[in-house]
Amino acid sequence: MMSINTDFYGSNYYTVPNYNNGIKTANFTGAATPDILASNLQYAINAGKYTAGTLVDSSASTHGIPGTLNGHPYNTMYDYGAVNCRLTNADCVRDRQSGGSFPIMWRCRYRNSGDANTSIMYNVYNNQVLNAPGRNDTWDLYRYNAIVSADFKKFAMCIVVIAFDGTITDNGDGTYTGSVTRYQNMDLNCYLSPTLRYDNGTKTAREYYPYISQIYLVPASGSSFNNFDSIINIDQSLGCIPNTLYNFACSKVVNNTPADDNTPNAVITNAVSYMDGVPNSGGSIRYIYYAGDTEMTDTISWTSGVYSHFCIFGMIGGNGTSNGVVTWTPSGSNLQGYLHGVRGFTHCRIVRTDADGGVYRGFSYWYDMPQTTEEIKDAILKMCSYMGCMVSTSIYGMLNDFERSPRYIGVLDDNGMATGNYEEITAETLADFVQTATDDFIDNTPYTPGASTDPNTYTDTMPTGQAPPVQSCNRYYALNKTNIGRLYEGLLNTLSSVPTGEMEDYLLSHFATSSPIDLLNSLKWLPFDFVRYFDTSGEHTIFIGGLPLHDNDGNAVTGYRAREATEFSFTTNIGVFNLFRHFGDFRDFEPYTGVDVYIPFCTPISVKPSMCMGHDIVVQISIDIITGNITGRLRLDSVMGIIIATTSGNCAIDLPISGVDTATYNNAMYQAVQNAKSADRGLAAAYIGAVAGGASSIAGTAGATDKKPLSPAAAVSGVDTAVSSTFDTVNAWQNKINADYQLSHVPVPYHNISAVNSALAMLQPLHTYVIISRPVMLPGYNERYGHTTGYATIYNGTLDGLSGLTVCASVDLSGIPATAEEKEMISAALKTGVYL
Amino acid sequence: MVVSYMQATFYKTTDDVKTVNKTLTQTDTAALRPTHNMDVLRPVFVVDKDGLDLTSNYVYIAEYQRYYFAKLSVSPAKKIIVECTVDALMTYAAGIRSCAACVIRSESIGKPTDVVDTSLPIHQSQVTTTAIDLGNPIFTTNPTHGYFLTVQGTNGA
Repeated sequence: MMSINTDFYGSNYYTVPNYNNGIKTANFTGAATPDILASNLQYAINAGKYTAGTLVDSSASTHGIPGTLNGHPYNTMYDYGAVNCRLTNADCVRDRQSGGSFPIMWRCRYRNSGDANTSIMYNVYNNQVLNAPGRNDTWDLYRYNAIVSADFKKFAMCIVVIAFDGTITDNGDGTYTGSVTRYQNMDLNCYLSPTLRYDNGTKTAREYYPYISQIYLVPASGSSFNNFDSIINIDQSLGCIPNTLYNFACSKVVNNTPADDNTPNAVITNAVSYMDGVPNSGGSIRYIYYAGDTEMTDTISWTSGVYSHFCIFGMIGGNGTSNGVVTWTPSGSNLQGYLHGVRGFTHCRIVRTDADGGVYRGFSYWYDMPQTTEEIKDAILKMCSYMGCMVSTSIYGMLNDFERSPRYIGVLDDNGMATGNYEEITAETLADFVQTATDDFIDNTPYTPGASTDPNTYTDTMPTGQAPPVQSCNRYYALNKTNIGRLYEGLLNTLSSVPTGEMEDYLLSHFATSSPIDLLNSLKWLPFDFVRYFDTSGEHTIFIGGLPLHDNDGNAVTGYRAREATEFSFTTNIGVFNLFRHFGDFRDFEPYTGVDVYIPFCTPISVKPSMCMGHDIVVQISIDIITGNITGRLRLDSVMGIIIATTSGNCAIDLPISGVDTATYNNAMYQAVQNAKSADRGLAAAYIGAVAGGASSIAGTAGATDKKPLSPAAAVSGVDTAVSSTFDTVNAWQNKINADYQLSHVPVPYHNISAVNSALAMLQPLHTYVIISRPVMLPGYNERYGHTTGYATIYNGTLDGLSGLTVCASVDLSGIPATAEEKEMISAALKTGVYL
Repeated sequence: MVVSYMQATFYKTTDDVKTVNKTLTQTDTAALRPTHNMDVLRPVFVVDKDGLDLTSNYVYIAEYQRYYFAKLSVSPAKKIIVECTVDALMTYAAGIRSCAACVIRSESIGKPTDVVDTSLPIHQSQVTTTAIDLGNPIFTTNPTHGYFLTVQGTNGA
């Protein structure tokens, strides 16, 4: 892993996304990069996410800074409690006056003034950025914008946070031991500028505010320089600034092995000078920017091509060394010089303030840097968190090596906006952050919009299955109307041939049951000629149980024949349709347009138009002949195409089969006979009882009369007995009559095999239909809609080909020499609609 | 005190403020005297000229290279006050046309597209329904062998 200083690359050279109100809205390309910084800062301030100072005193003289420069009045960032000002005028002056001692990376120019210098600043009072890059020679400031506006999605940003707690220990034996305690990777290059603090208009204190000047953007999957190029899509050769003013070129290392944990002793072998962007075109190589992650104890050497001012990113610097192998090893008194050489970047400058407010500008020597305080660290991390990205004090944190440096992640609000707050990520909590679930979360593969990333090609079909050759004890016959009639006739003939008194034995021996009707499992009527799927060898004798149907003579004849089934299900296509565009727009699809497919006997199928459009839709059914069950399905493009919908139904009409339940009949007959016999015996007994009882009663009564007259009660009692016996006789007789009636009227028990099925389904259409419902427009819809509302579209391109009402989701306003506010106006207008 | 004037051309326009290239009808020209408010985007001027067409509603200031919506009024001191608001669309019309953008609505597309337009006035309670008859290759009300008998029986054929 390595660190890359994107400061190295100006926005002159690559596309810079603009974040407007926290939303990426456009890319800026070319030299006329607009004031992206201003936009982003403005968002943070407008959203109340950053409280800036208040402009009160613009008198430069009170701050130890000249009030004029080359006749141009200016304000410095001191005056504004600037939140992100990068440079001071003093730096510019120093820069200009220092000749060619270091690259003019941060030289800034006053707009429209050519030679004058000023700084970019945010004017809190007027709520605007002053001296923003605009016209003329201000391109060297663009890179600053580029830094803060880089496409963070592609990087894990490693803000280089404050560093430089270096110590030298005199070992007492003439040797020294050095240590650098607070940085692995030059934790922060920053400006700490004395800034006047104003509270309610009163100057209260001079405070130091850090200003981020260097940001490491670490290609998260990167292990080489080229990888960085692939990410930001620029040529490394453009990384240096062409500069003829001081007649030297920037240089960079090409195709070099970066120093990292595995190769700490990296060798620079391919330093190339660039003049005016052309490699090896002249000028001496003075500045090597090498993306390395070298620690103090690492050894860096090079073999050729480096002239001076060698600088390892954030780590090691040195002077005055010409070509050849040079090794830096921090030790002894060398350490001080070594640390002197620590210039995070040769253009990184420090502004020190004397007690009287005087300012010294110079290289960012380690001793210039103030001690890190938690307050400063907090301020820096908040700045970083506004950018919505992860921050580490070195790349080790980005590599999840939290032992070496922590990592922080900005906290977003419910709307996904940066809050300025941050949380420290620990090894324990790392798993909670999705974006840190992998060390390699950058996809460097080329992206083609709309293309599939699935490397597979799927051509599989969905063929219909085959019915298994299942055998059972059943036999299946296809009958026509004539066969149906003769079936009953055959049954009667067969049973009538059974000798009298042998029926039950006969039935059991031939049908394994005394009720042969049970062997008729079902009789259905099916609305299609299923016989085509039957045995084509001809008709066969119908067997019921083990007995063929007989003729009138009791002989098995061929008259009762039918074709026998060998297949019990089949699949067939019953239609194909194409769905065509009706409106030619989104209304042709769901939920606006609906498509239903009606298959006879089945539940209608609703299918998405988007699945049908442009395809042949094959309507297919499979029918189980035994049950009449239907499975319907829709397939894409072919009979074995992808099934996009299925349905089911049943087309059979169950018919009743009636027959004599012999066993029940026999039982009934037996019971009736027994009842009749019992009734006969009851009748005889009643006669006998009635005659005997009645006679004796009457005789007794009469005898008493002979002797003496019968009492009325006794006479009545005798009559009663006689009458009672008579009634018993009558009842017994009635029972006899009933039993005889029952005997002669034993009902033949008919057995229903199945209930009559409803044939209503046959009254439904027997064709297959596709039913399409389409939306209707309201009467007010007319051709004016396009002018007043515009037709929805997604068009990415320039606007010059369009006319009339135009509404944009985002726009790249690069190249328009407007102020930031004007661009906001334009952007807002384009988003609400303009007439081109 | 030396006062610097700016030359302005006054126009009338009836175009919508959202129109990038506005149709302008020149009404007058005049020298503008700056006031205290010299915000380039919203400057206010005084016109030291009699007879200026007060119905003008648009102005171009060459020194600023910008077009402005203008509101003309007469002060109690009988001075014509011109309150301007920059028309960034007209001023940077050429640049806007060359900008790359993601357009989500356009009149010039000419018709609805496959991009769902929830603003399109679609009737919420009406649809048209049509049916396509795919025919009937199998089902009939009079099959030659329409009866399917299932029995338990041996293979006595």
